[in-house]
Amino acid sequence: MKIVIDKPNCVGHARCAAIAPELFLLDPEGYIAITGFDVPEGQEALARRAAKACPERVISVVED
Amino acid sequence: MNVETKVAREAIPAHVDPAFVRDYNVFQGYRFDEIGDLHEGLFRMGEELGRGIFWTPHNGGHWFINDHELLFQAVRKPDLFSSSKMTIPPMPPEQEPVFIPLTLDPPEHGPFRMPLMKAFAPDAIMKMEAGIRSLARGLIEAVVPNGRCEFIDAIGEPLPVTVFMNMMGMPLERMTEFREWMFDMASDDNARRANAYVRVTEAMGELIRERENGRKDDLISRLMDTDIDGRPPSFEENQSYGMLLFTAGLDTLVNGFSFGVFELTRQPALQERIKADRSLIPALIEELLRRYGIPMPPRIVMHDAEFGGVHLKQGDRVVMMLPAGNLDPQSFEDPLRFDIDREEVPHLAFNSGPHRCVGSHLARLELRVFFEEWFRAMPTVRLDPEDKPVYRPGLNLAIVKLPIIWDVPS
Repeated sequence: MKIVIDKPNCVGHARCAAIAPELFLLDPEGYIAITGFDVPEGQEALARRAAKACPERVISVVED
Repeated sequence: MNVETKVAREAIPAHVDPAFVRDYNVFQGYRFDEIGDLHEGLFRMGEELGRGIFWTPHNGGHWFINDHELLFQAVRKPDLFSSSKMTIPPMPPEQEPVFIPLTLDPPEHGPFRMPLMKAFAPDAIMKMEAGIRSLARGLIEAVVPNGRCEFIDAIGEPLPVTVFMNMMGMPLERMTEFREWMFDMASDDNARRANAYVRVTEAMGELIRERENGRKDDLISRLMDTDIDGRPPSFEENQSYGMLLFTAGLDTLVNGFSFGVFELTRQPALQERIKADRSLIPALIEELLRRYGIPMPPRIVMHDAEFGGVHLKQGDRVVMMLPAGNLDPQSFEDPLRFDIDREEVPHLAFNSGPHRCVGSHLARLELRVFFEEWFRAMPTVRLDPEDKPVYRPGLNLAIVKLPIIWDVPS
């Protein structure tokens, strides 16, 4: 499972990082610092929850 | 129900289809005298008048949007719905306040927003936690032995106003004046609002002049030394930053605390549950933000356009009824139910799009620390049966009086 983030449209709510701080890394201004990642095994549910919590709907889950 | 018939045809501009006219005064709330609850009123308005975009002749005549998905689309179209003019009823152009960065539109908006993004980033505000905690603890512990308090006067206002004044570097002796201006800014009386804008601008000007003679470790000093496309902000721009922080960060947060405590008085079992498990506080806060949204920011239409099935004309004003969006059953099941076990669904309490509330992380921090201290020290609270809460409809939904009682711990 992969997470893909439409980084330019992040406005810095940081809800993803509030739910999964180890997965969704922020820059010093509080915007998302990454464009996506492979979800480590066992963390799929957490990643899914964090993606769903994005008020801008810029985080997508790509299933294998 | 033929809801538009109450409005005289001549009060409706030619470009507005009468089918989209509703008799709704934002400063009176929806059927507020009967329903007695501002948020329930917003929900009932959706059920009875419909959800979408509508026009009302009140307060100078303006559109309002109360549908969650339509709001989500509208707030990310700053080229159509500009925040450059945000007064309802509209103020004369020379009195229309400037709040940097809120009343700027992209792309000008970005460079002015960045210094605030840094100052209010999740990591940056964590160093304020200890100060907020000791302030909250002091205010709560001071009233516990009394068995009663008027929550807003005792805690709801002093807490966020003190945090704000400390952060900005304002002298705390001016607290009373600040609280009065905050109240005046929420008025539908343009003269009172204009006066408050002038006073706050002056107070910010005094503070900036003091810092011109020597910086301190406060936000206004940092803003003065910031870089906007290769130059520092001007004196007037710094005043506008101050205005924004004052108007966006005070009345809103006061009501976040107040609606939260109000909801707790309705739910003694929830109070017991959270006391036994403080890890539920973040879920309490998210549900509080959803169920009791506060600001309804106005926008101005930049060019004629079709949107949501209506014709918009350049210069039309539009109220983004974000709290109504959070009570839209198409997005939130049984939306009036206060349920901290809801799966996290994004709400619009802090808006969305380029003008997402820059203070959202600080607001959540203050709410979390407040409730942690509240549940640590405060017995189960209930409404005072002899003295009712007082609400204030308007562009910021508010409780202005909240008398509560509890059994004094022996």
